[in-house]
Amino acid sequence: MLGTLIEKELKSILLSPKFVAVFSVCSILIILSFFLGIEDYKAAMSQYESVVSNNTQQLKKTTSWGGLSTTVGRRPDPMQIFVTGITHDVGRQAPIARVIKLYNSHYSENTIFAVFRSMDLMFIVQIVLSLFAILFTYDSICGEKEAGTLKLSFANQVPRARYIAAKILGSWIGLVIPLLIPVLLGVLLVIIYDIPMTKSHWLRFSVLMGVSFLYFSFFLCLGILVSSLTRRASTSFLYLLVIWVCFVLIIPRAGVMIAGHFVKVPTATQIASKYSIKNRELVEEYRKVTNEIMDKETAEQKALFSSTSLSREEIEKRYKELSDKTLAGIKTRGAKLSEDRAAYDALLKEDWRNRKAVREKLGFSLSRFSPASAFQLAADNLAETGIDLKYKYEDQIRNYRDIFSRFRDKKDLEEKDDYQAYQARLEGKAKPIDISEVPQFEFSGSDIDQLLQKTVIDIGILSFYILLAVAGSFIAFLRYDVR
Amino acid sequence: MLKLIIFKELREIIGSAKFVATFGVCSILIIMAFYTGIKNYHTGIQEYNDSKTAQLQQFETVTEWGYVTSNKVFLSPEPLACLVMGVSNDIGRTATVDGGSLPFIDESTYSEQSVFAVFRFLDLEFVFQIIFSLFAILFAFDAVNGEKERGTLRLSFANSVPRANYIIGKLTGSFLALVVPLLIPVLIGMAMLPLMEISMTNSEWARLVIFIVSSLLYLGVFLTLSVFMSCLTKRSSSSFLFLLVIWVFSVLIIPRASVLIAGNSVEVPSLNSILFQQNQMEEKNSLEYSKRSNEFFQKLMLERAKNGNNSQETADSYMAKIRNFHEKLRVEYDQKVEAFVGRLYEERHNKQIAQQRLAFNISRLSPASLFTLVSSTLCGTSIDLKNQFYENAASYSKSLAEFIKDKTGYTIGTLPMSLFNQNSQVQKKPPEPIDTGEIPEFMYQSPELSTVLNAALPDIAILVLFNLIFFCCSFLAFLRYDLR
Repeated sequence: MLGTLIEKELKSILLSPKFVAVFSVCSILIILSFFLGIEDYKAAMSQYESVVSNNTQQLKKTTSWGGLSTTVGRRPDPMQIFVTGITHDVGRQAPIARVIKLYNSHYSENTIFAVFRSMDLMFIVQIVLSLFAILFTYDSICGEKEAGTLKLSFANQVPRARYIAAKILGSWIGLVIPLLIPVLLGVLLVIIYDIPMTKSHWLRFSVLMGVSFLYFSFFLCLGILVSSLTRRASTSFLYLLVIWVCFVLIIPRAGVMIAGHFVKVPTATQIASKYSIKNRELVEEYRKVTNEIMDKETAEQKALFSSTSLSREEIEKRYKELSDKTLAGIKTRGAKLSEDRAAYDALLKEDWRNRKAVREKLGFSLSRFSPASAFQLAADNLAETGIDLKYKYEDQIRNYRDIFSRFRDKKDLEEKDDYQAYQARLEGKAKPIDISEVPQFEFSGSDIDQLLQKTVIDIGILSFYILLAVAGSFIAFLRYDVR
Repeated sequence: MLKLIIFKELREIIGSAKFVATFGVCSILIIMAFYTGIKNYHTGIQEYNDSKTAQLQQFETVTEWGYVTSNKVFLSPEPLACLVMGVSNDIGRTATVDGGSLPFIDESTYSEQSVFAVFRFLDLEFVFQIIFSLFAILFAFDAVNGEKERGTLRLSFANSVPRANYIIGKLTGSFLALVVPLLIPVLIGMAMLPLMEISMTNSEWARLVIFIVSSLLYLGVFLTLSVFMSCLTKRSSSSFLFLLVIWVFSVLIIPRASVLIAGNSVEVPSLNSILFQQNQMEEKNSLEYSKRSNEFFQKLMLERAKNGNNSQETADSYMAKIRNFHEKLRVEYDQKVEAFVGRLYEERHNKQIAQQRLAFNISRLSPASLFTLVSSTLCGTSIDLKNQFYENAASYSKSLAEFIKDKTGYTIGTLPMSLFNQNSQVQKKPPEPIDTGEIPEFMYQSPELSTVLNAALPDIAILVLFNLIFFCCSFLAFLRYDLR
């Protein structure tokens, strides 16, 4: 019985002109998204290579270790072919300096691409496939009722539960399986273009496809649910369209915007201003204290030099002791000033990070009311093109900066001891340094376990929504007036 | 007769449950877009003022004008830019100017606050572009074939109703039924602007009104297109399917694809590749420079040896010759590099313009892209914003350089070190901090209304043309429609 019902559903979907039109459009779009993603990745790679060659060119010119400076490029990841995320919004290079900051994002350099944004696989799944899932299921129950075929079906001995299960399964098989064809063709394109995908990349891609089908399934089930709740196909479609607009377009944006209004995060300039004010206070205090120390020293010096009871040697000895004491006092205050500055700087940064984390957490939690957001966050996580991309890069570049600075300082010290090299540099005849010794920056992404752990929550949310929609469809259909 | 048909259409749409639902959603979204835009504007203004104050505070302890060489200027938020964001969050909003080299623009909102880049903002353009078009389709996809399916079309034509009147009545009625109610939340939103303390100039009000009119034109395109499709097909489900596919292409695919096609057709060299070529040129020049200066030096030494005059005066004159030669050589090579790099940047700029033109021309096939282009141009958030900010920053850089020259007597880049140490050398009295109020203020000059209108008018004209074409097509298709 179930088999017959599924077969009937499959036939009605696959043989409809709607399917031909939608399947062709989706196939073209999916293959196009793979192709454009590959082109985009290649362009990003060439940009990265130009950053690297520029840097190498600069390094080769350097003749002293002390003057060594470098710039790190952000290497594109093949996963950005499928999920662009915020890749184009984040800077692509960072000079190694006191403040590490990625700059020169793709959208800021090539603003034309920001006007209409990119069209990646995630975009196709999130917007187009969800809309088409609705298009196929909005009239699955009420449409049959309107056409009178529902009454006909139930003239036979068909259990309702089996009927609705067949509807869900049939629609799923009828729509998901054909969509695998363009996806597989896209994968073939990735292989043909020789994109350096590792095992981990393929695994992440497979999970991504799994999550995409979960997301697609949710909209299929939602279509059947609303169709089981309404009597007319036009009403069902209206409700579904409103829900789709809210889920896909409104809630994700609104969630983050609400969080933005509730949790204020200071800007870089505001932090710099706070630091500047505090620094001025600290310097003022330092000056006051050092002036006091120096005034005290001057007074003691005066007393010392006006003393008649002390011998010249004794005066010289005490004078030296006094100077040393003053110098030590100033040095201690200087060290305290540096410590206080660093502590305040760390405090500001910690506060900034905490606020940012709270805002992100709130924004994403609110937006997760929508399965579209859950899907996007899961996809971003799996592709590592989400919000963590910038922080991870900047953190790793900071670590690299420490390694690089230590290396440079060590080499600089060694060089200073080398009198011949020093003399050659003074005469302008210094040879360029051997850059092969310079430590290289290597970005290490999260491993698959970590990514999966992070994605589990969104997969869970999607599964929960599917479960709700399936259960809702069952309950609604069991109580549906089939006449 | 026409009036009657229009009233029938109006009553049918306004009295439907569909209308209540869509009107409710649209109203909430429009008012929400205005509200969040206003809030964002206030936040933006506060951040802008804080940034400016912070920038001045950094100079408060400075005691020499010579130190005011690296100044940061900020792109001020504008009320219309908060309603239609365009690319304003993608471009750098901070420019570092030093009075000499080209301004360095960085710190875009999306790169600084990436959380907003994940889902992007919800602005008026987004609401109008997506929701208006979708709801126009929803109301008109079955305008003609739906009536045929229900049998009411035959009933209507049982009376002596001219076909022309009927279709004009349909189109006008549907347009009025959607536009008039939608204007209510738009007017509420506009009223919120002064109520929530947003001061707008007359030019900004005019631009906002033209933007609203353009959005209605955009709605008109999808409405007439839907009626046309409804006249072309026999079943409402078919017209809906076609319209949805057209909507997906128009709103989601063509705009993106056009830019990607242009990106692949016209290759624009990256800034890094220009830097690479500049470095190579400098390296080559440096070798040539050394070679020529060595040759000159040897020639001079030979000459001196021939003369045999070793007096201090002769030595000084030779030194002066060497200095002059070096100065001349330096200027010559600097000019060479400048010309070369200038040519590279010009080439890049020209390619960028060609790419932009191609992309926008292809994208104009879609009414949604046209609407994006019109709205971002009218609200000052189009792709030109980046160039305008850059040009403003560059001109400010020049005025800063002149100001520093007035104050110090030196051009930036040639400031002598002694200038920085004057006060510390004199030591007679503690140095006085500079008056930061004297530093010239940067003010972003947004383009004038006439310039904006000139840029937006061609696209508005194409939107009108789309309306006319679809209107005529609907008219012609209905005249030949099988009413039975």
